[in-house]
Amino acid sequence: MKVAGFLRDFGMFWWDFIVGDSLTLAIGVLVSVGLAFALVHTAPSGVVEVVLPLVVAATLAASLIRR
Amino acid sequence: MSATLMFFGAFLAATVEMVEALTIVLAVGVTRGWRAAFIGVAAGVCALAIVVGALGPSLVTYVPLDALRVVIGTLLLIFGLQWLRKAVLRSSGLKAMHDEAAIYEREVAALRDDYIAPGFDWTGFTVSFKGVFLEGLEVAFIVLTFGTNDGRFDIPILGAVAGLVLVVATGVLVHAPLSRVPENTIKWVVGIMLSAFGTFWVGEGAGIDWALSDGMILVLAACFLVLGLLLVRSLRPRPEAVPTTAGEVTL
Repeated sequence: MKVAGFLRDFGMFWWDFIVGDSLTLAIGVLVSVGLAFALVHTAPSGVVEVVLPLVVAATLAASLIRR
Repeated sequence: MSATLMFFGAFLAATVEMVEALTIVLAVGVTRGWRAAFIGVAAGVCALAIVVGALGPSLVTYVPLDALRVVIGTLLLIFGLQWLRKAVLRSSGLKAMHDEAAIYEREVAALRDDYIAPGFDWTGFTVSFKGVFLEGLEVAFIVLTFGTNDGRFDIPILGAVAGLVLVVATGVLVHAPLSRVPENTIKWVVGIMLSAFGTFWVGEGAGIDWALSDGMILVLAACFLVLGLLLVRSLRPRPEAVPTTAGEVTL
């Protein structure tokens, strides 16, 4: 039981550390990273340079709207 | 990356986090005694040094740079956007400003109610250790991410230590929680910096060849500043509609 409690506390610590107050923010960042990888070799040159910051900006805005 | 930016990034992050840690340590020292508080601080600082010392060099040596950039960029982006989000919420009045004096009073009240057993005060030690270690862990990650990307740890460590020394020296002189530190302004600056660096490194790690090279970090920072200000403006509650006469409303 002690091990389970430790693992739960350990998981909660990392959840709190990475996700913090906004799950939207954490998911949005992961989506941004995935999108950057998906577009960098498939989209025309320069597109991902614009898309990545825009998705990050949209993530911040969405996390504030869904607070 | 510019050494100055790296220094100030670590310095400002350490300043904010150490103000929070100092508040906890002061509360422990005043209510439970300084011995347990100081031993807790020393243990917390040692634990942080071990985290940076153990992870730093091995990360640089064994992990490919692009993979490292994506991971540290993602972490920086998460931290940066979290800080920027808090700063926007506070500036727009939707979240209370971080009041160290109120936090201090709350900690003191909670610790006073707790029984102090004879011998070493483990409660005081644990609260003090956790305060320093947990608040410092975020700084340790920022130091690690700056250091691993640049291949040198001296400048971010120097920046973090400078922030730590400044806060501790001020705390010793003032002997009270540092409620006058413009924490939200610092959160703005660090949030913007980390978000800009994070976006840049994630892009580099993914294979983007940024048009302006490192100069793009400044462009991204400017964009995040403008975005943050626009969000504050749009989120700020409008003045209540005030009824004047029956059926008439002024805005």
